[in-house]
Formats: sequence, C-alpha cells, structure tokens
Amino acid sequence: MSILEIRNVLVERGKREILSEVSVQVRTGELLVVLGPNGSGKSTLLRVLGGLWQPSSGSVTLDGRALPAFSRREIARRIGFVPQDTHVDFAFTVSELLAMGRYPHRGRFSSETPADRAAIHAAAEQCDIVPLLDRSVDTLSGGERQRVLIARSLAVQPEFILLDEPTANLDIEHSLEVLELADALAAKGAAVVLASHDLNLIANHATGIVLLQSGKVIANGSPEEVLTPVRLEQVFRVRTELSEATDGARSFSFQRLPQSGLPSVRGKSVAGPAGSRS
Amino acid sequence: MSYRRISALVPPFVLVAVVAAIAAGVQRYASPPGGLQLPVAMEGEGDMRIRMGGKAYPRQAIDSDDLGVTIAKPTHRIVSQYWSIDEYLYSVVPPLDVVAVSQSAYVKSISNVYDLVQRFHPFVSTDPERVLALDPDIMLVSSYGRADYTSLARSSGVPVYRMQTSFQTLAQVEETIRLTGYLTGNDESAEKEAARFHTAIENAQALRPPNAPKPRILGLGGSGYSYGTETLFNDIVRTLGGINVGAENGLTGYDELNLEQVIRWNPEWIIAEADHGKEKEVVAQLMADPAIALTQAAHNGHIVVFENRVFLPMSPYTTVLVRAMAEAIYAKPGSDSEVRE
Amino acid sequence: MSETVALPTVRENANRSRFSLTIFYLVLLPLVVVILLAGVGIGSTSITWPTIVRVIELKLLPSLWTASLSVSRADNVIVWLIRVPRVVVAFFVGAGLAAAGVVMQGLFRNPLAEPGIVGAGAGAVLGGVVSFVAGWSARSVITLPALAMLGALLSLVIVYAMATRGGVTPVATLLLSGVAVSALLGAGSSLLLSLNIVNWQIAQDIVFWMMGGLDARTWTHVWLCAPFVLVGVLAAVIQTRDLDLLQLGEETAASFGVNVESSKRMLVLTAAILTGAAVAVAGMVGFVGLLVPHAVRLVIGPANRALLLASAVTGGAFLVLCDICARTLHPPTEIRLGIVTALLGGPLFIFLLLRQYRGADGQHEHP
Repeated sequence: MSILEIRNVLVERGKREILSEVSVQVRTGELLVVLGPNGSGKSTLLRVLGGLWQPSSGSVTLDGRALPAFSRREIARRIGFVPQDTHVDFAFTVSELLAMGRYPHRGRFSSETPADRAAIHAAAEQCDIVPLLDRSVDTLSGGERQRVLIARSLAVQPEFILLDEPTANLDIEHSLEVLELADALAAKGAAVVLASHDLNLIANHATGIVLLQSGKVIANGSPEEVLTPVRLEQVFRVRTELSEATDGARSFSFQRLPQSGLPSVRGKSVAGPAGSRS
Repeated sequence: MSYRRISALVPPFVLVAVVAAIAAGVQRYASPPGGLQLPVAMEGEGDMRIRMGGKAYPRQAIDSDDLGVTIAKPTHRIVSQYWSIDEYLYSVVPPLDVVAVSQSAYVKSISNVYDLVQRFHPFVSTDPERVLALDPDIMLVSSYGRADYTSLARSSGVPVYRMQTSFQTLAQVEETIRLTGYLTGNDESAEKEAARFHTAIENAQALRPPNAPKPRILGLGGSGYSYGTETLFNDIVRTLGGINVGAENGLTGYDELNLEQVIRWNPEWIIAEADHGKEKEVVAQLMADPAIALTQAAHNGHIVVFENRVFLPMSPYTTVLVRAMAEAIYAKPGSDSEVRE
Repeated sequence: MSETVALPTVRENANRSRFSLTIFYLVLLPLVVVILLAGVGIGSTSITWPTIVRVIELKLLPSLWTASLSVSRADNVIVWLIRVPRVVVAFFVGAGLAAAGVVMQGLFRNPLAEPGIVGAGAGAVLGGVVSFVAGWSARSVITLPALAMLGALLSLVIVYAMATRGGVTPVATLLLSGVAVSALLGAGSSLLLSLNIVNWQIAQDIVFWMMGGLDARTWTHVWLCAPFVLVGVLAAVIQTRDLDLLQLGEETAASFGVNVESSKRMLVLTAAILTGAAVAVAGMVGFVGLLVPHAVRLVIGPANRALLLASAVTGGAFLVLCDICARTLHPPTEIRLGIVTALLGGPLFIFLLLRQYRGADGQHEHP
C-alpha cells in the first residue's frame, strides 16, 4: 500500500494564497473526492499532489519520501494526472496519444514492447474508446477527448490517478461511466483523487471527501461526516436537503438561500442510480 | 519586489548597450575604406608597395593578401573582377586578351571602357561558373572583394592576384600600371602607358601659371563627405599646386563634412561629382545651398562638377580628371566644366 | 476476458486521411534524387551529362578505375568546385531550417512558428553584418560563417536570459522576448548598414547577404554547415518524444515525466544551432522553416519522430529547387535566394492555410 500525503501546504501566487494549511492523505484503494466550488483551489490541490506545482511551504511525500527527491519519470510512473482542459492543438491520432502515455516507462529511446501495447489496449477498453483509436483527436467531441485523456493516463498504469473535473464535458451516461471507472480502479488497488463540484455525482462513490473553500480545508473525512447540510450551506451557499433512495443511494436537492425580496427557487439534481460501492 | 523589477530590466539594457558598443566599436576601429567613392583613404595603409619579382618567367608577385602568386607565362585570357581593374587592363593589354570584365564595364553612364566592351564583348565576371568555363590564365580581383569568390577562384587552380584598388598617390597609380604589365606579360605596353600617364600629369601641372597663388580647393563627395589627407584627391590637388581645404582642416581619408564647416573654411574652388547628365543640376543645387552660397567659390562661380566617369576612377583614366581640373582652375574663365580626353 | 489475438502496434493504426510514411518516402526520395541531379546538371554554362558523371567518378572512385577518363580543367572545376558544393550546401541549409522549424513549432505549440522566433536568425544576420563592416569577410572565408554562428548563439543566450524567471522559462515570454530581441538586433544590422552605405562594396555585400544567397559556395562552406546540421538533427531526433509531449502542454509533459525546463533549453539550443549554421552559409532565407514542417505535417501527421526527418529531407530538396530557380529564372543574374523562397513559399503557404480553414468551416466542401 502506498500513501501520498501533503502536510500543511501553502501555495501562493503573487500575494494571493491559493491553498493554506492544507493537509490531505490518500492511500491506494481509496477514492478521494476533492469537493468545493469554483475557485476553491481544487485544481491546485491536485497539482500539488501530482508534483506539478511546488508549494511555498509544507511537505509533499510519497511513501514518506519527499516528492522532489524522486525523478520526474519516477513520479510520472506512479502518479497520473488528467487535466480538465482537453484542447489539443495538433492532429495526433488517439493511438499516438495513448502511446505517449507510456513515456514514463519507455523514456526516450526504447521502442514499443508487448507490455506497452497491452497497457494501451487495456486503457482503451476501460474508457470505451477502442473504436476511436484510428481517429484524429481534433475530430472528437469534448467528451470523447476527455475519455481519451483518461485512457492516456491509465496507460501509465499508475498507482495514483488524479482527475481534475473529469465529468465537466461529459453527458450523464459517460459521467456515470467515469465514476464507475474510478470505483473499479480503486477496487483494483489504485488510489483515485477526483476533483469535482458536482455533489450528486460523487456523493455515492467517494470513500473520502475533502471539502475546500477558498483554499482552506473545511472538512476531511467520510461522506457522511463531511456532507452535512450545515457545511454544505457554508461552502456552496445553498440550502441542501439530503434524501436517501431505497437502495441507500444519497441524493441532494438544493435551494437558493433566501435573498431579501426575491422568491426562492427550488432546484433538484437528478439522483444517481444505485452505482454505489459495495 | 523592486529588486525583481530592476533585475527584469537589466538584461534589455545590457543588450542595448552591448549592441550599441559593438556597432560603435566596429565603426570606429574597423571600417575599411569605401569602394566606389573615390579617391578614398586607406586606414593603416599609407605606403602601398608594389611587390614584383624578376622579369624572367615564371614570374612571382605578392598580392594584397600577402600571398605569392606565380605566373608561368605571358597571359592571354585575363579576367577582371573590378571596374578599376578593367580600366588598367584595357590601357595596357591587347583588348582581345580581356575575356571577362566587371558588371560596371557595361554600364554606359559610369564606364570608361564602354566602347571597348561593346566592341569586344567580354563576359561579365560575376558568375564564377562562366568565368571558369572560359579557362582563364589569370584572374585579377580587388582587395575588397568577398573572400568567397576569391577563395573559389584560387581553389580552381587559376592564378588569382588580389590587387590593391584604392590609392593615395598618383605615383601608386603609375606603379600599378607597371604591375598590370608585369602580371600579364605586357611590360613594354605598360611602360608606354606609364610614361603617357606621367606626361599627362606633367602637362596638367604645366597649366599652372608660375608664381600663381595656391588655390584653395575643396572636394565634395556624395551626401556630406569630403576628402582629407591620405586620399588620391589630396594628391591630385597637391600635384596641381593647390591646397586641399579638407586636409588643411584636419580631415583624414574620406570623411564626413558639416556644411557649416564649409562656410568657415571658405574654399576658393569646390569640386564635386554628379551622375551623367546631371552636372548642371548639381551645380545649381550647390549654389542654392545657403552654406555653400556664402563661400568664395560660389561667389566667383568656381564650382566645378564632373560626372562620375571622370571623377571617380583611380586608374590610368585619372589623367582625364587631373587635366580637367587643371583646365578648370587655371585656364581662361568660362571654360567648360566637362572635359573629355 | 483474455486476449489471444495479437494486439496491433500503434504504428499500424494509421489515420485514414494521412499518408503512410512509406508512401511518403516512396514519392519523396525519387523527387529528391531528381532535384539533386538537376541542381548539378543545371548551370550557366552547359556541360553534358557524360562529362558530369565523369568528373564525379574521377573524384569519388579510386584512381585505378578511372585511369582512362579525362576531363578539361574547366569542366572539372565547374562541376566539382562550383556546382556540387553549392547543391550540397543548399540541401543542408534547407534541411537545417526545416528541422529547426519542426522544433520551434512543437515547442511553441503553434504550427506557424518558425526558426527565427527566438532571435537566432537576427543574431546570425547581425554577426554577418559585423564581419562585412569590419572588413573581416574580405580576408578569410571563415569569418563570416563563424561570426554568424556566434551571433546566433549569443542572441539565444540573451533571449533566454530575458525570458527566464526563477529557473522557469514560460513559452509565451520566450516568444515575446525573441520577437523583441529580433527587432532590436535587426535594428542593429540596419544601423550598421546605414552607417556604411557610402561604402558601396560593403553595402552591396550586406544587402545581398540579408536577402540570402548561395553564390560562390565552396567545400569550405559545406564543412562549415553540414556537421552542425547533422549534429542538430541528431539532437532533435533524440528529443522527439519530449517534443511530442511538450507539444501537448507543459503541464501534461511534466505529468508524463518530462523535465520541462531542461528539455526546453535543449530544444531551443538545438534550434539555434540549426538556424545559425544555415544562416551562416546562406544568409537570411525565410519560409523554409515555416512552410516545410507545416506542409509535411499535413501529409504525415504531427508525430515528431517521423516529422523531423521527413521535414529535413523535404526542406533540403525544396531549397535546392529554389536555388535552381534562383539561378535560372533571370539569366545571367541570380535572383537572391530569400526572394525565391518567399515567392515560391508564400503562395503555397496561403494555399495550405485556405485549404485547412475551409475544411474547418463546415459549409464548404473541398475536393
């Protein structure tokens, strides 16, 4: 079992503190969700976990060893990062992109091995993009591209996979597929860290939730502990009501906080089906 | 924070300073003399020695690159790469021996050998392939030409002699006439031409009335330049018994001139050059210039303008200029400012 | 689910709208050979093919086999000392510029980037101008290319230093810095030119060189250019995987294990060496580094491993072709090479651009 941990991390840009006093721990086999509204620092937190941003202070350790002590390739072999932005300027094919994912293992010189091909194919199947392998990436829809990028990171076969808002461009079917994929990965022994602001989507999948607001950790623990109406109102500024379906699936409905003089609007997100982890 | 801002500005300033320093340094210390603007000073080359060996073949000569050139026998297929070399050649060697000339030879308005090239049709020497296809037995290039052309020519096995083409004294020009004869095996003809050159200069000198006061002459090159010491113009003026106003006031070589200085220096004669056919225009332009209009030269109508073809050569054709200047300055008033030999 | 079928290699999954690399080379290589032969066969004097072959045999084959051959000195010199080196230099210059273009376009993630962006071209030009103005180019064949290379590397150092903050060189800042330094160095060249405009010989030399040209190229120039281009292309080929990943974004590259800052440095240095070597022997020749990688990418796709070598070979052939045009379009004068590449390359580039963007606008069908 591996542990990726950040302790008391401070990330500054200019004078702004993007993350302050943040401590988070992820173990393999867990599905940790980093939850928070836009601008709360979720993406930054993921990047710090992935070694892509150096914090101004605090420590980032993998299995107890500080991350900067590893080489870039070692980190890349063990931690995969899937960005939110799927834009690709050049017309690579999907298979070329997936092959690039094997760089941490191949380096500059070695040629493709059967292990590489197996990993690429497995990743493509897991993300349901096998029919797209021949296509040029600039002909794909946003959702397809997102799955391609996830597959690319999966091709690395990392222990830790960090997903930055992976469902942002996906329709519901594929969003749920991604969550199920995350479940499956965690079940197989990887650690998945998923940043999202969609409460309902992640509510039934996470093993742990880190709730962020303005760069600070508001709560850190199991979904039951973290997803209380009080906290959610504080962070998301909406009144939430939790309901449980017969199979135990949680869902939230939201209501805007009453403003002076304005009628409140009742809104309800669609609840996820029984895809909860057993 | 302010340290960062300063350190961000330092590289650009350093860059600008470095570029400026390089440009200034190169300008001051390393610019060679000009090509077409003649006569021109040569920095650091006050004494040009013509270095020839003995008369017996194979002959040896040392060129301006300090390379020894061996000439096995008299040459009959001669290539010239530079316009003044064309003029030396046509004055000394049989015209059919000149198989390639510079591009300028075919430009009617500046070429002194135009009629000759129209008659004998030598090739133009800019294209090395064509030149080498002619199977020349000697190539004469200028000391200012690019090294690429010269080294290509040298690697072909043809004797290549790099000639000094910018001079400071008429004596050097005369010696170069002999050099041309030496290199091509036309010594008698060269000796004759050198004698003609010498006599023409003497005849021009003779036009000066004895005990006449020394005329103060200023030469004007294009766009605000004049001729100081170490220029052929300077030597011409001195030979004709005049005073070179530019040199008198400290100019060295082909140097920049401030028109206000012209008022202060107040020359008696102004010699200038113009494109073919524009001589009268240039005279009018100069007369109209407020600074020049105040000079004695303008006052007495002593502004003489020669066309390029006459003014610029540093070759046997320089005698045309010398004669023309002598006639303009010393002959009866009202003589034509354009004189052809 | 177990797999018993052999999994396909990535290379076989070629996109339908691209040509396979094999077909590309099958078409390109014969073209290259034809163009090279044309380059040696065409010149201002006519030399028959048997003569040309004889000269080359004399030079390349051991003397035992060639005892019975003889050629005139003129033919020998013209073919071996004038035409062959010129074609060889043209090929290496074109290859170097195209390879530099591939690197730049990958590094800046922009298919419109070109080698001069980081100031190497302007620096090389300034170095050359300095050598003309100081008269050193008249003394020895080596000073001009040497100063041009030096100029290219120095300007690169300056551009990089200006754009780097805390060990990080953001690509956008590098671009801006390169543009600014290029402008400044270009102004320096113009300044030196204007100060020396009265020196007709120097001014002409400078202007002709700034327009690019391969006149009077000798084997010395081949040795001055080819080794650098070969080293540069080799260095670039080694880094193609890094370049691929960098092309997708620096963060992406880092997350896949690329050492972003050191890769960038190496790539920029490689591009500067290639550009410097090319400008050093040919003056400022534009469009090759911009157009050739772009066009080749449209045919074989953006994977840099294949793109680099293919662009280099195509660029070499393209420049030899441009040089042939420069020599033959307006005899007996030679048109400056930079003008020919612009005249050939410009319309071609506009055509490619229109074709690409017309396709993106769904309303127009293109054949």
